[in-house]
Amino acid sequence: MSLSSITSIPPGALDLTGDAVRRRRALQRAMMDVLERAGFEELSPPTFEYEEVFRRAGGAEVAEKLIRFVDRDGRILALRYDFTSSMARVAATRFADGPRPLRLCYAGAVFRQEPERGGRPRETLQVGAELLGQGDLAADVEVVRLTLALAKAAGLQDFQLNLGHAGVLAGGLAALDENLRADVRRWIDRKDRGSLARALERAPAAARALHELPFVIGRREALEAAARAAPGAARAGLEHLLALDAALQPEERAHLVYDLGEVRGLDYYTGIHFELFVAGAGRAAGAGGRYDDLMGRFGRPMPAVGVSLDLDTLAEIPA
Amino acid sequence: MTRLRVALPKGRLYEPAVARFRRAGIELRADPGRRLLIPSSDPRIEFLVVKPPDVPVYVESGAADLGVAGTDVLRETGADVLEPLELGFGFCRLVVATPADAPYPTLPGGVTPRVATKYPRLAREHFNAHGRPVDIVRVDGSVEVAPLLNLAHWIVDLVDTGGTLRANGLVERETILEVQAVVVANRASQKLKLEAYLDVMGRLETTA
Repeated sequence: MSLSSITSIPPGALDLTGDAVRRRRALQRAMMDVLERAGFEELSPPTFEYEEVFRRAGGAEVAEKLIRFVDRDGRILALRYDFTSSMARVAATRFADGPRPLRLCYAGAVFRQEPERGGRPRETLQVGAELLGQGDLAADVEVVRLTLALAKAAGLQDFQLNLGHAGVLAGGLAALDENLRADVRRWIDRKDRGSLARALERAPAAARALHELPFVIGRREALEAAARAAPGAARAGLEHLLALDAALQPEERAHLVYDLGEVRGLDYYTGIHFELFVAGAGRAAGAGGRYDDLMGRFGRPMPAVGVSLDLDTLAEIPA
Repeated sequence: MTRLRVALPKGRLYEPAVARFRRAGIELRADPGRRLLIPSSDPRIEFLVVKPPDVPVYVESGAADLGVAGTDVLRETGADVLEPLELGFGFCRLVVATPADAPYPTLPGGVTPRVATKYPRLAREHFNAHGRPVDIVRVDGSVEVAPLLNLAHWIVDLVDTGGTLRANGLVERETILEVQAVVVANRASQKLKLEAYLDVMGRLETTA
């Protein structure tokens, strides 16, 4: 064996030592304390599962990013892509007949295939929680509040939660034929107003709200203005966000920005969805939302809402 | 005060990009020269000048909040950035070109075509999409001489007027991508520095 095969590590892998390890441990401990006090039970699923578990939960997008290998009997395994899939599997089997709601939490590494170019990490530390079996506003509020508490426990001050609702754009997008819908989603995702407007020239009237709704971003007033102008299909989602806003305390609201332009995960989320942004980090440090279709894919339909935070991103934020 | 850092590409897009920001009331304060960060007439905006393929790298990572990049570089790198505004300059095409007398789209005798390019990913995707197997040779410059030197049968490269191609005895065969300059933005900056972002974008849009 050549020496280089033991001195180098694969792209996207990382050796952590000293303060880098201590900082992650401290963050993890502080956040798990918050989760435990909030009544969430820690669950430690396996590091690898049959790949079907992750594909079933996350669909085609996830299938592209699994790190797979072959078991002795020829079945395909995958390293843990996320915790939510495993939580759903356990909730649908072992806890199938237990009391509801279920409050589960986790901490550990997830593994994702990244494009070769960037040298992005393929292993990331996460802490997160799932609230299963409760589909009302109170559950959404609980998870949003929990996310804010976790951010505080991580020592963050300058952070914001960008919160949207999958229902707001769904009606308009459904009115488009498949090809145009893919284009429109891409322009919304890139925030390219000009290309979006040109694409929508061919769109039916029911999609007209897509001109403006994706660019609504702001506090409660922005939502109220959008709700006044929005078509019926979008209004239920906006009303839900307004009700959530009303349920929060002023110091919690200070961290919330309503943002109706996020189309990623729109095939996954069924209600609220959010991302955590922290000054000093170039990408989201956490994400969550409601995915009421998830448990049905594991044979036990029930509402589900959750959050996961990226401990590596949080640990690397300059103090 | 929220400060926005804008990455500008060296080379053909630099002057038109500077001119476009000037029309928006944002003037670079110094000649780039050796300075890394260049202040502007707007104290909230500073510039840095990097090689074109590095613009999406700076912006995706958040080292720069905004940038100017060609869609050729963006599609080749697959950078995960916002592309809020087409700038209406830097128009060109990414094309397949071959010597005027070369057979196309297949070579006789079952020879697998070698294609020299600075855009291996876009070239591979293009030939894959048409089910035509090729070998891609990645080069960093002087792509148009590759067929003359027997490095490759064909090339995939940017064409503006076509003068360079003609001078090297090459003809365009297919267009892979229509290219122009766009504004790119970091996804987190757009959210964390929303007001400053909307202000700059608004000024760029209204002074086209």
